[in-house]
Amino acid sequence: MNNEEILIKKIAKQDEEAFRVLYENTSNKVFKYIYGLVNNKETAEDIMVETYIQVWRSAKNFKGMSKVMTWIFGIARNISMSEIKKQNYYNFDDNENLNNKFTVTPQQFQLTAQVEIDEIMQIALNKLSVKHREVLDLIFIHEMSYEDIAEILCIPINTVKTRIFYAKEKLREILNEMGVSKDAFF
Amino acid sequence: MRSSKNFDELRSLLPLYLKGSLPEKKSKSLEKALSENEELKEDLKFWEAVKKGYQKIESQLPEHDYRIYHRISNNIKTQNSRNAKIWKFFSLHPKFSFAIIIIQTLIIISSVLYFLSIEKEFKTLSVSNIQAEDGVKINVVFHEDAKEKEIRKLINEINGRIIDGPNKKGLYVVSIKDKEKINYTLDILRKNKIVVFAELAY
Repeated sequence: MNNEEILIKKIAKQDEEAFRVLYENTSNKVFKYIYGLVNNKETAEDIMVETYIQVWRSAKNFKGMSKVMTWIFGIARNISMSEIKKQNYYNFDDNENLNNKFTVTPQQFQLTAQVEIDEIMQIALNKLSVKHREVLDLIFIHEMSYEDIAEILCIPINTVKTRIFYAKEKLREILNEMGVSKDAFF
Repeated sequence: MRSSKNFDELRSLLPLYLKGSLPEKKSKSLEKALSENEELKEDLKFWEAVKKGYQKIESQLPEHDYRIYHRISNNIKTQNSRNAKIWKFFSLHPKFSFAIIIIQTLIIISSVLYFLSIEKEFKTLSVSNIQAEDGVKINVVFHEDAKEKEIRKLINEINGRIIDGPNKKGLYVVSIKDKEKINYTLDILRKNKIVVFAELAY
């Protein structure tokens, strides 16, 4: 049993100190994950409050079938998705509305031709749909394995791989629309 | 020559390889494939660019407010004290708990009794509880202006006997002894102006 699992056992017995330690160990990652989904600090903080209240309430139901972090991410994701639907932020599968938030036309882009690859990619990543973006966030920010991602998103591992493939294709498409040639990265 | 399935599998591992989270055996297998395959190399370059993009994103992610823990903690404490108050109330007032249990039990028992008492059957016009009568039964409804004298006369004419009725809808059950004359009797009844309805009862 690892340290986080011991903490969860204690939280299940209403140990507030254990809860505080778990919060301190995990809150940064959880906040970054939620922020990546909702893209708004205040909303992300509200969701984080709800997430940890749910962790406190559900600790007794944690069976140790998954990692504690994966379990918390799963809770955070469920609450975030409800919030996204409630606030009608943008369609989960569609990046049309999200595009409006980060619009950069090819003309504008050419004006800043000297921008670095990381900046170009940052803009393109921000234009991805939540569905594609979250899977990449989990790999590149949270360093999750495909098994953990499958558990958080409640999908098979092969679907995770397919989603990564399509996320890459979509990114290429977005970069192309931005006027960035395929050779720019080589 | 690697199979397409194997190639796709290796290709799907590139992001994990870049993050250094791939087991050694798989890493080596991927490195070997990378040295042989240009397409795979291109993909790796692309993922390297994605990784750089993420480094940029990560450096710009906001920090969460340190007071959030107090919000969570206060919420949990409020909930705990609310639950504790409810339990305290019931444990300090056991009579109240028993009263609730008794009321609930009474509601359940009366509901069960009520549902058991509801008659579950269909009623039709021909229903009659008369079982001991021989012969054939006919359902008859007379005109509302029909006089008793006229009804008696008609019943005598068909050599029948009123054995039930009238019910709320004005239905009489008339019995005739001779089964063979049923069609003739129905014909007489239907042709009479004081009869509204005449049908064999089943």
